[in-house]
Amino acid sequence: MSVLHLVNASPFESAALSRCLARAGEGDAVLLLENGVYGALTGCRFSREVAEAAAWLDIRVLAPDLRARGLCASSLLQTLGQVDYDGFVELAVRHELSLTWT
Amino acid sequence: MVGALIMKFVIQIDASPHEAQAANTAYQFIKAALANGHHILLVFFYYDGVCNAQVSSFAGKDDLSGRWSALAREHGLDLVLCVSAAQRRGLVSAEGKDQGLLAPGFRIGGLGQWVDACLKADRILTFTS
Amino acid sequence: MNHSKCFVFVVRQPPFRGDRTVELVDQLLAVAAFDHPVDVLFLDDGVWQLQAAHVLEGAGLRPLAPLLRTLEFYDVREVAAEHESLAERALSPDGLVLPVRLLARSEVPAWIAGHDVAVGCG
Repeated sequence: MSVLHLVNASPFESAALSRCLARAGEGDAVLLLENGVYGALTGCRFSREVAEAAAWLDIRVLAPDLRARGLCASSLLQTLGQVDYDGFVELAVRHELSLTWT
Repeated sequence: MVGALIMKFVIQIDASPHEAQAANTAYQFIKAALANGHHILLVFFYYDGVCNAQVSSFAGKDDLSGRWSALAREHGLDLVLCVSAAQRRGLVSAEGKDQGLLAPGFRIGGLGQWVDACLKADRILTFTS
Repeated sequence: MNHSKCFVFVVRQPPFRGDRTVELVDQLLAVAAFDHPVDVLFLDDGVWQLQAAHVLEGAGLRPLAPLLRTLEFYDVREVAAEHESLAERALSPDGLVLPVRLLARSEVPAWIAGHDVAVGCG
């Protein structure tokens, strides 16, 4: 069984992202959504931690939530893939379990 | 889509639409899942999620309870409020009856229905805040 | 076909967030009442819920210990807590309101993955 981890809190406000990355297993995926998308920014306090995790973990960002917050591709870590809601559904199909970190 | 995996989902919503994005995220997820041919066995409203059934006095086209009602009508979705969570928040009577506060398409149920649907489902997702 | 599934609830929130704990326990016990294996894992600030405490009369807060102890009586299969979450908070596993299985952080991913249904509680 693999887990789709949903991180929906800003890393500047909550430790959810770091806590999630510390408990994710091989073969799991992480989706940054809602205010969690701020975890995908480059040049920030959390960028290195996220980039390092992305080397072994599938980390995606929910594109509609990026757009809603005015974040454009150039401000994001380039190694993270973007998905829309169809892609979110596909991630949920691919992973048997899901957990939300807030 | 030929060969695509079609799955049965149970969705649990734990957040009120007024203080968090989670309920709207769940709504968008369900719309996308249905558009991709998946089945939604149950949408279960728990914790403050039961407030999704309340009709706002300012109800307009963006009001989430109205959008839930429309989605339920179009796709035959089963929108179930947990009776004890709804009683705790005064949405249904102590006897577990709808007091006319619920938007169309929502019904009152229990945790047993959630457990039962989980057993039949391929995927169980919780939207919380 | 209603084959049995194995559930896990992951608790990460500190105590006294309104009725969260009461409703969490209700959901857990509903699974147990239908005879499905159910485990619960206390992580991060969730471990604070396990600390024995005296709730002062008149504080308007419902004590959690009796509620959490019902997990033992109603066939909840395993109550687990992450060792590191306790250690970071200087909490000893001996002083908790109920006995727990200690899991090392490195064991958590595989332990969670051993279930059929995971419910994250924030």
